[in-house]
Amino acid sequence: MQTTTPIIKLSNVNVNLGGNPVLKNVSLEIPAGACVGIIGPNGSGKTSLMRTILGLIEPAAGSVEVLGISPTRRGRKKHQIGYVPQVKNIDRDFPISIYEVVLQGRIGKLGLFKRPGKQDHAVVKECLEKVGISHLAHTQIGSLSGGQQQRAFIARALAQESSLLLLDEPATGLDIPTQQSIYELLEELHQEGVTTLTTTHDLLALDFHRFGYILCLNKELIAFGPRERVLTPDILAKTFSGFPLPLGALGQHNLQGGLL
Amino acid sequence: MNFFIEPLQYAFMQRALVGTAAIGILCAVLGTFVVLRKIAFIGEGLAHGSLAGLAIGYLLHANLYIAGNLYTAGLAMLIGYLNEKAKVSFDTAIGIIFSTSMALGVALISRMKFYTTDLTGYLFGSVLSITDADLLLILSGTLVILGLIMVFYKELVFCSFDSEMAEVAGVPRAFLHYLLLLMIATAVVIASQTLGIILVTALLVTPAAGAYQLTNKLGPMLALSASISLLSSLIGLFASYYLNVASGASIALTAAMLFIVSYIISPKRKPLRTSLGLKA
Repeated sequence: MQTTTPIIKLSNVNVNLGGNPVLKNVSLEIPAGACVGIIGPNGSGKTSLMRTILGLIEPAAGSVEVLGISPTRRGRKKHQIGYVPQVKNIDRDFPISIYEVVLQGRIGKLGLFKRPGKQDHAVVKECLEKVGISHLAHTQIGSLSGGQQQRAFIARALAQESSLLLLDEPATGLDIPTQQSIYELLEELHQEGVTTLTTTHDLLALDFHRFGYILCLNKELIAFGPRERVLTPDILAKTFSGFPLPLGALGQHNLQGGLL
Repeated sequence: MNFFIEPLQYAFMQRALVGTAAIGILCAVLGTFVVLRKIAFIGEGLAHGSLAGLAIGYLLHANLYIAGNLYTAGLAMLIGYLNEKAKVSFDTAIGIIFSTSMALGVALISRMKFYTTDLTGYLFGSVLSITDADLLLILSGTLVILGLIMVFYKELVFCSFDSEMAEVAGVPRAFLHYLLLLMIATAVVIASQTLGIILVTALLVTPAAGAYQLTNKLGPMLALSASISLLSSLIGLFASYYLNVASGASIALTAAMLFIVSYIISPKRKPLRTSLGLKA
């Protein structure tokens, strides 16, 4: 996180969905190697921000540059963006095993007309190992628990071998040990120099001290910077539109060196 | 044994056998993607919509199947376009295009003031009247489509399972979406030879749905779907020959029966005896 080259650069980005603005004039530079937590209430544009960075939404105005190029441009294959979508969007009945799901992480790099080779299979096995679900490799996706599915999608994103990983609400709905292991994995990725962006709307679930940077979003960019500087009562109150936050319940350990 | 061999002395029956087998496999493989994407209505919509293409082909004295194919491919593209660009949901797009096109077809046909056997064959299937030229069309269409599916297999599966992630990874999602629609349009017109446009959905949906009852692995699902479809086609063909019923009907009914069998023996649910309350 010491490096200063931006891996993501947004300049005056406006995004509308169905005629309504969901992101207003967002300008942002995320340094390579940063471990970023994105917080904001429901409907604050967290997922839209991710989808814009991924190139799934075209901004109405402004420019986006990710890994040096516009994310909507063709030829992005070489510049893979790892992505862990919200689990709820998945067809649980699809006839596909965990192994095959993780192998999909390799398809982007492989390109058309090529079949996965030895190296791809080796990467898949390694990623399954990393998230601790090797023993479930040949299980159909729908017969797993929510936490196990989440791990499978994280493994798929890891298999993309990208230097940038976006996780949309990865901890939501999971038990504490599973959340912990996801945060530990983020830590590991951080050590390896991977830039990660993680959203959450649940401040209580957010293990603040894991993140070097916090991004506060409420359609507009409220604040972005090192954790210590961003996590202040003023900024949080502004982010959550003055909604009284259960700051006491957040616990000292979550906010050490920051708030309180 | 004579029961099966005797009809095959006739050249028309040999053509019918090869034709139905090819169509059976083609529909089953494509149908697997149709079922997994939950777009079962697409075949029905395109098939009904193709009526206008057929009427236009008839008016122009063109080959009905080629005219129908070109027209239906256009319909498929239009449905895809409405869905992609106009943000119309997929089944709504099918509903709009198919009813409009079928209305056009009915209008044209009612102006012609006669119903030819060509048209009834197209509507309900006339597997026994397949010519050498038809068979060539069926076989080449089948080979091209199965080849395309093999080439784009991993991408088609990726898009069917998680189209958003596929797009993020750089898979040409929109291209594959249109390609799948084009393949379905072609298959629908080809399959209408044996099934008739009213019943095309039977092989596009039922065998894959039956296979889905029996397995939750994609490879086996494709193989089972193709087997169920092939069996339905062949049983249907002989039933059509001996019982003198429209081949589309006999094939569709056989496929339905095989679906019921798959449902009953499905390992995915409790044994039927248990669900009926009769203790296992």
